[in-house]
Amino acid sequence: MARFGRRVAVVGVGLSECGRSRPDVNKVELANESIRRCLDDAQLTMKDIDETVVADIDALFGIGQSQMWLTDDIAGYLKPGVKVETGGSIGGSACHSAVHHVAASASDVVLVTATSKGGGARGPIERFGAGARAQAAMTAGFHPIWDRWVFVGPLMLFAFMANDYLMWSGCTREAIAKCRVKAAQNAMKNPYAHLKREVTVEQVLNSPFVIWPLRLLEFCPMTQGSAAMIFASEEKAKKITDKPVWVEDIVTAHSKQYWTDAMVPVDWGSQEAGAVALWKRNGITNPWKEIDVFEMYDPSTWAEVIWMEWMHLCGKGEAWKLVDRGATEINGEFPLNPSGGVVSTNPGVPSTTIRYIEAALQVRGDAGEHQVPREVRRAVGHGFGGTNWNTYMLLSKDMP
Amino acid sequence: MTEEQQPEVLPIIAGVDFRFKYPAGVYMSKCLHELKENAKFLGIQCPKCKAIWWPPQVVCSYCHAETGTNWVELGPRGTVVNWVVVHIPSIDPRTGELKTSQPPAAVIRLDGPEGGGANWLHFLEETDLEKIKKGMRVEAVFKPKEEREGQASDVLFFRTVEE
Amino acid sequence: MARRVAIVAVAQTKYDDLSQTNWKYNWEELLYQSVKPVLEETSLTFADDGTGIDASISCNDTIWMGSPFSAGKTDDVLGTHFRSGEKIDADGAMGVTEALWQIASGDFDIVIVGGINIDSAAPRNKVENYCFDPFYQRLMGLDMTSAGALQAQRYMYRYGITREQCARVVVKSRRNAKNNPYAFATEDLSAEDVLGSKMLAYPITALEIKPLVDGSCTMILAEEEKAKRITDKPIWIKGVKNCYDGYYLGDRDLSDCKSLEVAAQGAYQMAGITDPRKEIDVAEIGVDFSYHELLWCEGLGFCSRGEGGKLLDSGATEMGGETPVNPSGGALAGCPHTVEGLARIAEAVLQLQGEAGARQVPQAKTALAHATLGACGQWHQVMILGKEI
Repeated sequence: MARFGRRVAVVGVGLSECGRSRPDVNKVELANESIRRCLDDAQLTMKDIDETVVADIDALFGIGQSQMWLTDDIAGYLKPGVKVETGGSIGGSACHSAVHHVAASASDVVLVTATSKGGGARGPIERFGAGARAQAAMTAGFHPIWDRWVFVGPLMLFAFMANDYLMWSGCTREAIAKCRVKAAQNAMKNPYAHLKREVTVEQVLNSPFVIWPLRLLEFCPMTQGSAAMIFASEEKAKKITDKPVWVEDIVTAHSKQYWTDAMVPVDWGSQEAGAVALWKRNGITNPWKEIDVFEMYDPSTWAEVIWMEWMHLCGKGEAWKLVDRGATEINGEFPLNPSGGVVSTNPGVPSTTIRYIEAALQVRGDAGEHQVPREVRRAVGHGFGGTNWNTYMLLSKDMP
Repeated sequence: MTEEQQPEVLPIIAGVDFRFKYPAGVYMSKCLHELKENAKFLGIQCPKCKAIWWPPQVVCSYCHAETGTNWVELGPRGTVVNWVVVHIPSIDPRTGELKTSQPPAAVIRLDGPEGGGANWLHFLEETDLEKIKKGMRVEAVFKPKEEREGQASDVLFFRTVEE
Repeated sequence: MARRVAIVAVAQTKYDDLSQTNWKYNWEELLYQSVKPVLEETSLTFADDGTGIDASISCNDTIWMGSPFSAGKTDDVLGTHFRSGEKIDADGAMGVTEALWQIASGDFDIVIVGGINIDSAAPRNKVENYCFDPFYQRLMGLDMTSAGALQAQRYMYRYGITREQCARVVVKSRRNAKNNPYAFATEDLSAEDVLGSKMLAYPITALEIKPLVDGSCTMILAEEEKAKRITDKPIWIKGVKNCYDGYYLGDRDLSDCKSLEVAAQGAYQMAGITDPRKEIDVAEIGVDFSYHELLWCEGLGFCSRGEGGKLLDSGATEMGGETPVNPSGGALAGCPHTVEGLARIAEAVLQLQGEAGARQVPQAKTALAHATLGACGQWHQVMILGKEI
């Protein structure tokens, strides 16, 4: 904390209804939905917002310079603003930008908005068609000459990750399946989750291979939705709310361009570098004991398990055993993704913002049915995306 | 407004057709040229930290030293370190067509100088999962020269070899 | 501002049309051509222990680059492996502001900002059409030129600005660009040449629109103590503000530039400027179409509303005038998308460092760098830079 010029707190959060598609709204209306809820949560109006940060990936959603179209609906009119784009971690990068702006005294109250509104899937028959299009759209983010022709989107990345872990760790597929079951159980308690139906271990183990050895139920859905957060300076935060959630620290780590090494794996080092920086800077020597809740960006259940090791939450080869014995359940030793995670709700662009929102709600004690049944003083939100960006935010109840 | 009065939602399809040109650049062009003309793998080695880059690039991602002209030959053999099989239809990025199947995709560690190497994502000729093992040795099979275009696809796949 | 921040080194590539050489360089190689000089000039390396560059910001536009997560294709040369690298998906000028706040917040001490685009590899009109919403404006086939034409016509009608005045902006830009070793288009032009070139969308002709060129620009920002150690010519960011106008073209009078006025007022206030004409020694502004220069000078307060043409006629914005505008020639002489605003800041820095060569405005102490983005100047940023802290 010592190095930030001013303290920054989360004073409001908002989530839209998430679903396979939201044909009832267009993009700017969908953004507006979560912003209104966020303003209500903070008991503020559009006038109170000094600045906006837009998270969007133009090339995925078919609107260039989308922050321009969004302006009128996001309290952006005649105000300054930023537009960031870092793949799936974008929702986190946008929040980090807001924190920087508030800490630097550029603005006092900053709104972050992240929306995912593509065409939306159009029915079960076309499901793989729509999925193929989504994977192809994301494959466009990888090198056009070198990577794209073999690479079948992020799905392939997690398939490689799964095969590697299976080969050396001794993990059982049942353990991974249990982790997926946990996500579903948590999501059923979360009104803003997308996939809210029960999943059994058998269903996971029998779900078809999408990319062997990755099974369908081990990967996230395609969701449409939006999220918004308001960050404020200490002075304003104390006036706005009696439950400010303090931003203790933020870390971003990127990675080299080509994904090949990450499929061995060699390159989850970005996850590791970011987490280690976060623990070290904040004097956290045993995150498993010192962090009360962790919302990790888990595009696949395999990622939730494997990255536990890379983030130094446990030793190499230990994560699947912890998951197997229920240590990461909502009432477990180390609640991981009590919201149901990305594997239950994946609007993509807002996904990291949602991790940060969920972590903030836990600190505030406002997560309702999916509130972890223990005291939450410190929570971490994590984001992942694109060419292996990783973002981390450490949130706490106590003013740093 | 009551439910009956709610207006019908009209979706529109806003399709776009963009053709971009993607420059390979000085370094990648040289390696693609070698694939096409000589069926050789030309990577580059960082003079400072010795990391090998495939495809070659202008600076080392790890230590940021310029790679200069430290070309190193890789392959044509390598070791399989990981593999997957695609079961869903995917879109061929070069044609926009739906691909219904493709051979197993593998990360192959191409042999490099002094025991070093570099990883490459490519296809395996072997489609029988039972026969694919970590550590198995494979060799690049190229298209005939007249069919090569200076693309990563000038290599058809990697064939299992006995050693 | 919490901490004072300076720009300590800048570099630009010579802006060129790489399609003529079959696109020899890829994005990271092209960006490296401006990264390398700033690293050499400052002797800085990428370091994790506070002794070097702490973080990077890469600026590129995914739809112009034809790829989401486009920073992945440039970040290796910005040293972001396992380190903080953010990506601004808009003009590089926004990236400089982002770096400013990252440093002022206390999080980082030294940040490198790099912007790049290869205009010539993208289908310009389609990419620009993509920026319009798919329900109303896109279907009309609008691109930035046709939208600009609407604004130019409205502006000319309301205030009696003439086509000839607009054309002379281009003449001035090309003339100034002769002194700029980075500029692309430096040929002599007369107003007749400009008005006689192919009509794109009335009143905008082919020579009144910035050419498509390729290139990159990089700069390094540092907090006060380190800035003073790195260079004896740190250029201080005294004020900055950006602002969005409304989106739909029909929602505003296109001859107004409210968001520019708000941005300018905010920047002036932060920098303590009360009389821009007197206190600003040189201005580098974002001009995509000839009429932009006239209209933006009004929004910046260099003259009253409607007097943009008269301001040009008076010679005040020429080299040697009271407030030279675009001694570099600006984008009308060639500067890629995304890089344009960033390069204006770089040029302003060179002016204040006394390193602008033949285009130097003598004894410049305070400079203004402006950027604009979006149809008809929806977004503007104004930055005030000073030689003295």
